[in-house]
Order: sequence, then C-alpha cells, then structure tokens
Amino acid sequence: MRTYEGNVTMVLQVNGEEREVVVRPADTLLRVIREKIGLRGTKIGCENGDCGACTVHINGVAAKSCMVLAVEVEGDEITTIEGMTNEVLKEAFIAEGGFQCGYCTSGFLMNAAALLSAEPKPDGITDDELRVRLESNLCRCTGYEGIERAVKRAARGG
Amino acid sequence: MESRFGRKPEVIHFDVVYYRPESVAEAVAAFEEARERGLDPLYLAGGTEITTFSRQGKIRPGALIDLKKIPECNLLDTRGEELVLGAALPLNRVIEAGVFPLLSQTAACIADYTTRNRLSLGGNIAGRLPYREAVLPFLACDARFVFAGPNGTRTVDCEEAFAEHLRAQAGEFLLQILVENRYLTSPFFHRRRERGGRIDYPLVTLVLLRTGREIRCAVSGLCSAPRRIGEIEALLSDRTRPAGERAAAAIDAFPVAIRSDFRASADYRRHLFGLALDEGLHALEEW
Repeated sequence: MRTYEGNVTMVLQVNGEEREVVVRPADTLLRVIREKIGLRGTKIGCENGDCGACTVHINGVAAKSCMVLAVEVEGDEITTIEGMTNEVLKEAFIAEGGFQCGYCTSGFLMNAAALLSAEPKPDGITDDELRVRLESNLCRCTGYEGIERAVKRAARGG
Repeated sequence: MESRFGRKPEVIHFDVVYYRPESVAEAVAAFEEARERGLDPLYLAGGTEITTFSRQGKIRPGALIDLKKIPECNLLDTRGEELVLGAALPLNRVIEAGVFPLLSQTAACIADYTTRNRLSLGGNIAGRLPYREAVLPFLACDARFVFAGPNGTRTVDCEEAFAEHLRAQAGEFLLQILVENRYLTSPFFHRRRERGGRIDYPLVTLVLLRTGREIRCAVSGLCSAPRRIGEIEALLSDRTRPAGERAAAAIDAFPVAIRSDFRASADYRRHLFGLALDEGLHALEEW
C-alpha cells in the first residue's frame, strides 16, 4: 500500500515524459500541471468542476484536473493540451471560428479530442452525442455554434 | 505567495495523508491507522465531491483512503442471479455498459460527461449533496449493499443501507451493490426536471419500476433526501383506476414534506411531480 504524507516526490507521466515533482497529497492535478510542471495551457477556471477549462486526458479519458488529486494519477498517462496531437481538430477550430478569447479553448479541444479518439466517426457525429459531450465545458464568448461546427468538421476528417 | 484574492495558490489549504490500498484489508487497516492518529479519515473513489468540498472548506478530512485500486470495488459482472456493481466504478462505465438500463438513464443525468468519467457510483450515493440520484434505481429494485469494514463484509437490504443517507458503520465503506437479474429488464420510467437546463440539480427526479403488478416509486429532489415512496405504491399499482386518477391520489397521499428552497417552491415541485407521475403511469401502461 502506498502512503503519502507531507511533501512527497513522485513521478508523473505527462505527455509521454516522466516528470519528477514534489507535491502535497492535497494538491490538485491542475495546480501541479501548471505550477510544478509549468504547462500553462491547462487553464484555471472555476476549480469547481463546472467550466471544463482544466480538462486533460487521464489514460485517454477526459477529466477535469481541478477535481483530481495529483497523487491519484501516479502511474497513469496524463495528456495536456501541449501534448494533444489531433491537428485536424485544431485546424477545424480555426477554420470554423471555434474560439474568441481562447481561454476555454484548450479544455474544449481536450474534451473533443477524447471524443474523436474513442472511436472512429466515419459518418460524423450526431447532434445529441455532441451536446452531451460539450455540456462539460463552458464558453462565454462564442455561443458554442463555432465549436460544434469545428468538432463535427474534425469528425468528418477536416 | 498570495493571490489577488488573498489566498494561497494551493486550492486545498490543509494537508492530508493519502493512502492507496490494493485490497479491502489494506483499506480497512489504513482507515483504522488514520483514525487512531486522529486524522478524521474519509474513503475516496472518484474524489470529485471530496476535492471540491475540501477546496470550499466544507469538509476537512485529515486522511484520504483511495479505493480505486481495489479489484472488488471495480467489478462489473453477473454472478449467478445477480449483477455485481463495484462502488468505485465511474458512472460512465456503468452507463456505457448498459446492463441495467434504468441505472444508465438515471446516472446519465448526473453532473456532466467529463465529470462522470471520474465520479463513482458509490461516491454519488455516499455523497453530501441532497440529490444522490444514483441510488434511486437501487431503492426501486430492492438491491443489496455490501459494506466492508473492520468486522469483515456484511450485506444489507438497500432500504436499510440507505435511509436518508448511506448507513455505513464506523470504518466501513461501500464495496459493491447487488441487483437481482430479474430487475434489470423490468419496465421503468425515469423523468428529471431541472430549473435552469440539464446540467443542474434536479427539482424532481422520478423513477418508476414495474415488477409484476406492482409499481414502485423513488424520488430525488422532491424531499430532503432521495427515498423510495412505498406509502403511495399501492395507489400507483391499483390498475382498476385510470392512470391520471392514480397519480392524483398519490399526490394527495404523499407522505413526506416536499422541499421548498430558492430553486423552487414546494407547490411547484409538487406540480412537476404530478406531471411526471401521470406521464410515467401512462408510459408503463403502454410498455
């Protein structure tokens, strides 16, 4: 059984690299990614699990990093926006105007990338499926239409 | 370093001791050790509520015992005549497995998709929010809850295990939930009403389950805690009367105080409950 107390040194797998960090067991993954590892693309929003700006992948599954303790994911594969490689999706966000201020964009991209990588979408993505997935993230600029178009475009292959 | 809001950058301001057991025995031993140290331990599975409540200062556990690596807590399997659901299963795993459609439909309305990738079945049921909708299907189908603790495991009927809140004894945690296979395909109705959109707490969530001639009823949001409303089930099941009449009689006979708060008045909740009951009874007629 692993037990962590006080300041502990541990290794996290982030974007395919081993990153040694010193954390408190109460540190959230969000804060560790940003403040200990220095990857600032994962955004601090509500820190309450509501906005999705902090979305990362844990073993390929989208998760809100503000609701996860860093110690919980020791041994798991963490992917942040810096390590997200779906270029078709990124291009689709640009082509469809899927962002304005851009603060929420990394969270939306990570959420959408998990959706698109989970299974091939040769026939595109249904409105219902997209609605359920994108409900996890908040945007206060775009009105969501550009984001939805972008994800659908990427699902069709760009 | 202080932020411009005057708080330290660490979002959870107090220290915790974190245990990651790999067996039930290790988890129980960790709890006991933490308790002896005066650490006020909590069991953790998905951790979504514990993390956010800790940040908000609503809870202050001194130790967290993470159940995710315990194989029995992640079981999703049929054993004999029962479905076994590990309490640490993320809600989306249960939903996407699709083995218990009423549970899938109920759980799919809890929180949002990404949160459900972490939020656990047991965590929702054991949580501190008043809604805990994941328990409704289990209340309706007389599921049994398996607790693990210092005295081994014990299996308890759902209505005893969950009365207003999860009735775990000192040092115990919810290990598994057992559902008889015959309920997995029983006709059901689920309706959820919110105030401000789907990602919101429910004003009313109604679950009806038909088993033989009997219609069972469980609700969340309507009262102070989720509960089965056994007192009105005879009225709901009386098929000598039309569905609308049964719904009206059940509302008149509703035995518990209906919640009234800033989200909705008791009258409005009662109205929504009546509409859902009427719809549900008609739907079960046609199933």
